[in-house]
Amino acid sequence: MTKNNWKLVIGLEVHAQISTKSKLFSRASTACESPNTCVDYLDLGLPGALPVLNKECVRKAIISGHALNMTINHTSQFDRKHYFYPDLPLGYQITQFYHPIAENGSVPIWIGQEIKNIGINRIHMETDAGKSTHKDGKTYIDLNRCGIPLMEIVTEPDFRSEEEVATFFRILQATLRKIGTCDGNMDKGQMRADVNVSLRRSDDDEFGTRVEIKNINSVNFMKKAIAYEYERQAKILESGEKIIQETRLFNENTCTTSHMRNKEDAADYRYMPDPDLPLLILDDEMKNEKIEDKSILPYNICKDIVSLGVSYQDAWIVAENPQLTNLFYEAGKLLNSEDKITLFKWIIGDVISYMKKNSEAVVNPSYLSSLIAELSKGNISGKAAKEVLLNMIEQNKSPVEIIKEKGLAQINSSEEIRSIVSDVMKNHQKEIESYKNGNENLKQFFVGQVIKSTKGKANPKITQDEVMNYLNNIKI
Amino acid sequence: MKNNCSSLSLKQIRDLLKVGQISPLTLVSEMYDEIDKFSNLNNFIALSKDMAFEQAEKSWKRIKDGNARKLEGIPIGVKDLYAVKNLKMTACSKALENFVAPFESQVTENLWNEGAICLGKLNMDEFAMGSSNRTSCFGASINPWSNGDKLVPGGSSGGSASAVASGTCFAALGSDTGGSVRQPASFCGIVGFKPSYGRCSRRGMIAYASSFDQAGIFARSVEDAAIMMDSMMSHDSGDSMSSMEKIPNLENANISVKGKVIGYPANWMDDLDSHVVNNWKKALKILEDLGAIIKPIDLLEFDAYLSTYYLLTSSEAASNLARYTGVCYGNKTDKKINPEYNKTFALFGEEVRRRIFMGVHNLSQENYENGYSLGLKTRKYIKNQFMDLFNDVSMIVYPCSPREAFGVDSVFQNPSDAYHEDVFTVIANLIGSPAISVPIGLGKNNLPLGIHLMTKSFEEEFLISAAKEIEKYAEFKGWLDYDKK
Repeated sequence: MTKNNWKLVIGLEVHAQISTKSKLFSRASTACESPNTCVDYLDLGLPGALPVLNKECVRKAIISGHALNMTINHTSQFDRKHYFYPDLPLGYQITQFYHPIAENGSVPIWIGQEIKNIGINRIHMETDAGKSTHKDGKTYIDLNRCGIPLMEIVTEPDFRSEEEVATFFRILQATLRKIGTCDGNMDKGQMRADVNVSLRRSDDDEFGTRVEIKNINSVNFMKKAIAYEYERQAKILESGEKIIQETRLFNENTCTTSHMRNKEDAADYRYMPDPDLPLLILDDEMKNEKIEDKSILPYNICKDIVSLGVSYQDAWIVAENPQLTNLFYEAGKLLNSEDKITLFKWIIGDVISYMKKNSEAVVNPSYLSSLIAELSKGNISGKAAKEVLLNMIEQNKSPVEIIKEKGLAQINSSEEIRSIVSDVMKNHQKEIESYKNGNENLKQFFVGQVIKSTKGKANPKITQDEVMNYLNNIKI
Repeated sequence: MKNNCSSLSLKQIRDLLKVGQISPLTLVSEMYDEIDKFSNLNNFIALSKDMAFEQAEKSWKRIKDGNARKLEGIPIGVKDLYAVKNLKMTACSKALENFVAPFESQVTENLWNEGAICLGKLNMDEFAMGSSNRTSCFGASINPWSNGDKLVPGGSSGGSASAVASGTCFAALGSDTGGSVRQPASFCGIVGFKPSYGRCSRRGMIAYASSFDQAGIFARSVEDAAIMMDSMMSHDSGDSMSSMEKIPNLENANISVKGKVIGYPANWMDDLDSHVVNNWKKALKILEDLGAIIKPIDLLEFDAYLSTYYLLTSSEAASNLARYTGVCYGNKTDKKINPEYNKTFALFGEEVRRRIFMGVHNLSQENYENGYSLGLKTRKYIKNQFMDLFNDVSMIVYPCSPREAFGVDSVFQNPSDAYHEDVFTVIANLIGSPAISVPIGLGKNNLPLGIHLMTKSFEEEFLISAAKEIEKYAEFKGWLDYDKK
């Protein structure tokens, strides 16, 4: 009931792990599974260990900035952010507080069929901390994550609903994956987000006091956390009280948020420029880093598919999946736009459902293209096409060949069908009598019997016509 | 050779070693005898005999094979903040009491690669914070010039200065954040040289204040210091602040001071002890006699430099030492200091704790603008001031310290009085310049005084050339005189 009285304002801080072989400042690998096997002297905070910037991280942060249409800062800087926690051996995180690598960008998202731009405030590079596991009154520390390179991508408070947040997050995830800067597996902690939520009476009002919900690791949980916060804050505001600026934690089991700390309790991070690291001044090679062709970015692919006349929601299914995107464009090369829509529907229908069951499956785009062509020419029925598709994928064989082998070609000759109709009718004298006596419902029965006798090959439309002709004749 | 070797210069011993006139094994063994003899000076806190004899054996073989390297067989000492693989590295702090370095520092590696021999680790102020070596958890190191009352060797690299001055090693590594090589050299009557920031890799050195820390060397002559420094400097991709400037050859540095303009801050002369001023004038006279143009310059009051220095170094120290207050370090068996988080802090000495508190204060959000941030601004101002100055003068000359070595038992009324030990030396670290202290004469207590020379960054070649001249004409009989006593 409070739903309509309050409007949501949401901003995100997304932590995305930069996909590199080694850490941001140490040479330890980023790929280890068993605890404390990927730890260099620096990650341990040993005396005398010094940070050396991994250039690959810078390159990938720059590419990410371009993908989010940002300004790349030719000079940026690393700072130390101090706090005490056992899984942070140095006693500080190395981050870019004062001068980040990229600023001021935007990403298009869609609400229904409308496009909306979400502002990106900044990307800064920083190190991750280790992982603490609290069990049986003890704390176990794994430093494999310590020093892992992260990009923190901070949005403007441009979201007005949890759906917008979810759409944006998926677009961001697909974009970073596409350009190879973040693998984006949330279950592996490669992407997570802090969500800032505030409420106000109307979209024209000033922003309300915001609450930050820390460290959410799935899109679904983000939506649930926002929904919960909406209800919680609306209730407080309805009762005439004020929202306190605070940091809250999301409980995955109850889908509620709970108080973590107030603004006043926040640690003083004592930021300072890291004296172990020079200013990050981009060399010519780094300055020239760019994305050659932005049409490959998932949100642009989505817009392109939408121009065929399908919805953003459907188009995104293909656009966010590089394999499907590739299949769509490869298979669609020689098709006209009407056939492209058919192709698109087949991909988001039968192809996806096949792939869900067989994740290893490879679909040959030229075979898929010729299947669509056969279908469009009426050489096979839709039903037969489904069978051809299965065989085509499993045997990696041309659809034309399969149609020939299995005799699946659609019977489109009226004469041929007429003779089949007359044969079938002879075997159903009883039903004919019943029809003659006025049982009109039997029309579809006869059509079905004819199609069945051809194992589905008879063109349904012609069959329909011929059955009607036959029946009309016997009535007279 | 006994009783003789330890009184030779590094260059002399190098030449004897090279022609096989003395075996490195014999030499090392003699040096350990000397160390034993002077153990009351408390300068070596750990000996690395296994390593030394192993290195000596290799050196002997190379010499016999005619493959001697630049420093083949020369025994040196190492300040206990350099990582030497498999040796303890404590920074003379309880917090690192049992820490064994799993890697080698770049500077020591460079030296071992040239054949130098590691005799052991040398005493220092805890985490290099101090100017008298009295904050060491191993107790104070003693100045070999002590006659009657025990005198401090200066600090923080006091053990290194004491060892070189007493003849127990031919050179010793120090580190210099605000004068920690030059001031003890001045107190002990030897040469202390710190190159430009970035010349030597900081990798494997325990950090005090990262943007100030630089390796330095103690030796008995400018030439000896130059020989050592030639092997210490290197480009290191493992230290992001390492300089890419061309590495000079300092041993053969020979740039005339004739016609060069040399500045001295005349406004600093007023409040100084007359012996200090006279020795300063002596150095200026030597340069003038050699054809240099001596020019008075105006510098800020020393406190302007000193405040900036302590503001920034305490902040960087607070940050750099944050790692030790975690869970990894400290004696976990002591019941009183149980292994809870943060308890390592209690293991730090008073001075280290004081600087951490100052640093945390300066970095806190509330004080940042008038703390660390202000320090960054004044440092920039100071750098600009000296960049302008170095357009007019090639070198700046003034006393290394306002006084001679003082008694180990002397007490400062106020902790910040102790910081005034560094008034003259901090500038070189604030601006990243190379600087050297050369013995110039004796003070009112008949103790050594050093003269401090500083050029703009990366002009070590001229600095060393000028230092050689001063040394030649100062006729200071420092450690040799002491040896005869």
